[in-house]
Amino acid sequence: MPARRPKLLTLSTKESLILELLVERDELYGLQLVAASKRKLKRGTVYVTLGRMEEKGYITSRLEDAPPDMGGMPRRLYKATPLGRRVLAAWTSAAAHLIPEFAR
Amino acid sequence: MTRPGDRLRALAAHVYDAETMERLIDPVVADLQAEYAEAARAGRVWHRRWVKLAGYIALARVTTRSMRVFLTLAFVMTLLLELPALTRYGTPFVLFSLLYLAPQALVVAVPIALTLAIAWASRSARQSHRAMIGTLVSGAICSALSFVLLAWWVPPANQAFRVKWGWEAGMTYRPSPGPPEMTIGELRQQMTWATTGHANWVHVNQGELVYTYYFRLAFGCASLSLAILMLALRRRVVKRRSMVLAAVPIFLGYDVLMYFGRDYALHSGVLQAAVGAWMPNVVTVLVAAAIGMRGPRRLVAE
Repeated sequence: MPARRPKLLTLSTKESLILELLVERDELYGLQLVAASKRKLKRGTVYVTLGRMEEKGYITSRLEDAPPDMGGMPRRLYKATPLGRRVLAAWTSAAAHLIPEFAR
Repeated sequence: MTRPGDRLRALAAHVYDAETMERLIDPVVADLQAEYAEAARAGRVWHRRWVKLAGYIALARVTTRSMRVFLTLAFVMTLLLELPALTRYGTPFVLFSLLYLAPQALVVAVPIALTLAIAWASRSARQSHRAMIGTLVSGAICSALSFVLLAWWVPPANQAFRVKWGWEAGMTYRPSPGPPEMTIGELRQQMTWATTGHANWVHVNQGELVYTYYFRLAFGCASLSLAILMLALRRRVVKRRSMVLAAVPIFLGYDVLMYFGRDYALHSGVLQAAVGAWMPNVVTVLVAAAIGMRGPRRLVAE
């Protein structure tokens, strides 16, 4: 019986953008990601994508240390995991080989 | 003092489980409150209003994802179900047919869209009691809406279509309504007259009256949502694609049973009209119970 093929880790365009931003700036809030992406990410969908990426193990999150001075809820900060960084590196390298514009 | 998003968050907490609140809803509300507070500190009134509106839209988009999937599917399915009629009656009838046949197509499209949307939404690794109740309530609400549609909206729309089509085809008389063109009140009246030996308002088959009266299609939403929920609870790993693929034979089976129920009850006379009418729902609920009795695996305590 042939060995079962291992599950391939995938990265969507949005996920790759989020990982790029998190690798570049270490820790960000959801809204900061939207602003840093120059509106390529929408505030209505970014949290769903972040939740999915956390499930996949690409990012990790924590609640901010000190509550904001205006008494709002504690915000969630997102950070790329070592797996997320590796997947992004592999994905960028693969794209460089597969996309003709990069290969030239 | 109530901060923006607090009331909506409290409302969402009644619907969503703790993990969804922590991962999806709370970050949106926290970011909204922080941005709002910053705008308030800066004294930017219009910016503060804009932040509030944008935050509420983001919250709505996060919380209504499954509903948007359901509405899109229902819309597409309704159009697809109307296609045969549109091609049959030709271009002059397109707008007219779209309008009058939409209710009829909608009652078939809604259970299919609901089954697929539940399958699509049951991808998350955890299934909580709250999510389970939410699914069942969605099924019950869709069933109630379908019943309203079938009892009062579909019959006049069907009759209007027949009258208009007859007039366009050069018919000189107004076609009499059959059971599918009667509202629930008219059907009840017809059945009472038929059982008390009075002459019918129009000549209709007694079995067809009973079959149509039960509006079994309306209960399809509840029974189908129960079946797909039980299936989602049984699986160790729920993948969106496999759940959607599993949903297809469930609603196709339901539709096949409905077809045979009608055929055996009204044309062959093998089944009683009420039995033929209820058969798809009874079989679907029994299948759901059979799956559920093997014990839900993924239900987690909140």
